[in-house]
This record gives sequence, C-alpha cells and structure tokens, in this order.
Amino acid sequence: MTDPFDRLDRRDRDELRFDEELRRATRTLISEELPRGVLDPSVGAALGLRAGNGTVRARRALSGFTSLAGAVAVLLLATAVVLAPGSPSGPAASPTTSPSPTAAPSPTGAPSPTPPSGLRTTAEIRADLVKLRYTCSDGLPLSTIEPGPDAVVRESVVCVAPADSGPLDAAVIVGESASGQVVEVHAKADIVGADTPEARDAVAAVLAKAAAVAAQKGASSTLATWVLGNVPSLALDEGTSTELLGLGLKLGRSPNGGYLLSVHLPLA
Amino acid sequence: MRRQVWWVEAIEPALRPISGREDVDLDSAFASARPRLVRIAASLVGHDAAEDVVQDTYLTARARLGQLRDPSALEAWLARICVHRSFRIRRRGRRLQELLAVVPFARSTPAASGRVELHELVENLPPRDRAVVVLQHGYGYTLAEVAELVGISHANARQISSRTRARLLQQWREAEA
Repeated sequence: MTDPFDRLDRRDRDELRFDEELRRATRTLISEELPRGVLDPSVGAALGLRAGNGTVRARRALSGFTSLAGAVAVLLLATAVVLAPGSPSGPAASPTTSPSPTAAPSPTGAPSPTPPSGLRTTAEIRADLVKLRYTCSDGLPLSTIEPGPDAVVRESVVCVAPADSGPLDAAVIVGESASGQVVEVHAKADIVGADTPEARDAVAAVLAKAAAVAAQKGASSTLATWVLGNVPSLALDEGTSTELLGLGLKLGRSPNGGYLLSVHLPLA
Repeated sequence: MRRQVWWVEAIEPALRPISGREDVDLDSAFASARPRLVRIAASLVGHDAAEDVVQDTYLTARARLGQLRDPSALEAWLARICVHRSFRIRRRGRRLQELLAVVPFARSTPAASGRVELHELVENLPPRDRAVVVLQHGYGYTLAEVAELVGISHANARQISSRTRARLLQQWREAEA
C-alpha cells in the first residue's frame, strides 16, 4: 500500500519535472528574443495599452486607425458592391445641402416601398468590408460619457481600408450599445497628397460605401447618394447633417482637411 | 445646415494626423526588422500564421506611427505590436480550423511516433493559449508582463495560463503512463 504522502510527493515532483519540461519545450520554439524595451510604458502607450494592470486602454473612436485605400479601386467597389442597380451614375448626383425629410425619396425618384430602418449588425458590416479587402480587427470597450440604451459602450470592429493604392487613408469603426446593437458607424478618410477634385471624389466614394454598408438593405443607395453629393463640395471646417430613412448622418471636414462621417440611430 | 461643426471640433483631438512622420522611416525599419518579427510570431502562433501576424503588424504600425513618441524605440514597438497581433489572430485561426476540421490530414501524430513530445502539444494549442504559455515559460516573462504584452488583464492571463498548463499536464501524464 502506497503512503499518501509519498504519492503527494511524487505528484509534486512530477509537476516540477513537467514545468521544467514545459520550459524546455517552449524554449525550443523560440528562435528570436524580444528586444529590450518591449515592455516600456511608452511603447505600450503608443499601442493604446496602459502600463500597470495590463488592461487595454479604451480609445476614442476613430483615433489612430487609418491606412491607404485605392481611389480607383474604391470607386469601382463602391459602384459595383455598394450602390444598388438603378442608383445615380456617380458623384455628380445632386448635392443635398439642407436637412432632408425623414423619409427621403429613393435616388431614382420612385417611392420607397417599405422604408428600412436601423443599422446592420457588426457581423454583417464586417463581412461586407472584408469583401472589400478591408482589414478588420475586434474593437475595444469605450468609456461612455452618458449611460443609456443608445450609448456606445464598445467598438465592435475596426476596419482599415486596403493599403495597396490610392491617395487617401480610411477606416471604419462600428459602435455597439450595451445590448449589442449597432448604434453608430464612423468612417474617417484623409487625403494623402494634393487635395484635388479627384481625391475628393475618391473620399466621397469611400465614405459613401461605408454609409451603404452600415445601413439596412434598401437604405444603402439613399445614404450613399447623400454622401456622394455632399463630400466633394465640403470646405474645410464645414459640416452638414441630415436624417434619412430613420438614420442620422453627420458629415464634416476638419480644419486639417480630414473627412468624418457618422451614421447613427436617432437619439431615443 | 452648414457650419455645424461642433461635433467635428469635439473629436478633433482624437483625429490628429497619424501619417506623414518624417523622423521615422517605417518602411526601412520594418524591412530590416521583418525577419526577426517573423521568428517572434512563429514562436507564438506557429509558422503558418506568422506571415499574417507580421502583415498585421505592419498595418498597425503604419496606422499608429504618429503615436510613437520615441523613434529610437521603433524596433521594440514593432515587436510589441507583433506580440499583440499574435495574441489577437485567434479569430482568423479559429475560422480556418473550423474549415480544416473536415479535411482528413495525413500528418504525423504523436500516436504514429509512439511518444508525445511536449513541444508538439504546445504547438497544437489554440494561438491565444500558445502565445501565453510561450511568453511565460519560454521567454520567461511573469504573468503580469505577459498580460501587459498581449493587452489583457492579469486575471485573464492567469486564467489562460493555469487552464493551459493543466491541460498540457494531463496530456503529458497520459503520454507518460
């Protein structure tokens, strides 16, 4: 009969041997040490990570997520993927610079059947952006200012436009409420290089695509048309907003020239 | 409704330009660091996913270059991003694993060789678990440091580490028996 203490000792020894084996086994997988300074707080801070407790620092939506996007590719994609058949042929669509009625007519002028409302789910938005070769990653919790059912409590996904071409940086960030409902979608675009009409058209296409991807099917064209019509004429430090098919849209251009679009549910 | 700029101004501090830094040549630095980053990623998530991780590292670095305060810390910063992205590559890996689950592989299994090697068990861990175990036991970081590196709470890191160690220990004992 084995003494229980002997068994315990053997078990402890076993675990010690296992830990040593585990250390040796994991060492065999390593062929490059991490450089010095990898844990410096300043390095972590530059990643949005906070030193100390290891938790991820909540970021304000839209900070620090941009990448190159191809103007031509985006224009084509915006036309082919986002804009439904029958939509206007391009950015020359008549701008809507004043507040629009809640239920706007469809771009073709035909009455809209059952006006769709709301924003799509994070998974749906992400899937479509991935189809457009966006690089998406999970978002982070946000510190909300005002608690409430419509408050954005987390960025559910952050998608950066493809980096292979184009005179602009662009990113899309989806915001969810505590219940998991998408309540806000932001799209940011910065022109890289000269601020030309072509570059502004490319920005318009990217933002229009973001608006269309965010909205429920049937509302996409209306939202995209509004964006396409408003972006090219937007001057520095200007903004405009409207409500279409039950969704709020805010479009602005910062003094630095960056464009920002917000598509959101109306406040409760 | 023009000149409605209040909301733009409210978020403008968060929208400061993040590209166009002239004091850092990211592309050159990245090209030089790339082989090392691939090796770091390979140790954490395996060779198959390492390239994906390094690609993500470049995209993240490019997008956040403006947030790098000390240009001399560029290499450490890239390595930090690489570790962070290694831990976050789980979702993509899981989808791939789901797809690959139906494919009958003729890979050499521990049973085929007659004896399980612990490093094989580690290599077969899900990427998140593997990253934590390799950082802790291989690189020798404390759990607090591991948590810091991958951007999770200390409690979460401890949970992953403890759960993974227990699983490995059980498999190891079964193989030893």
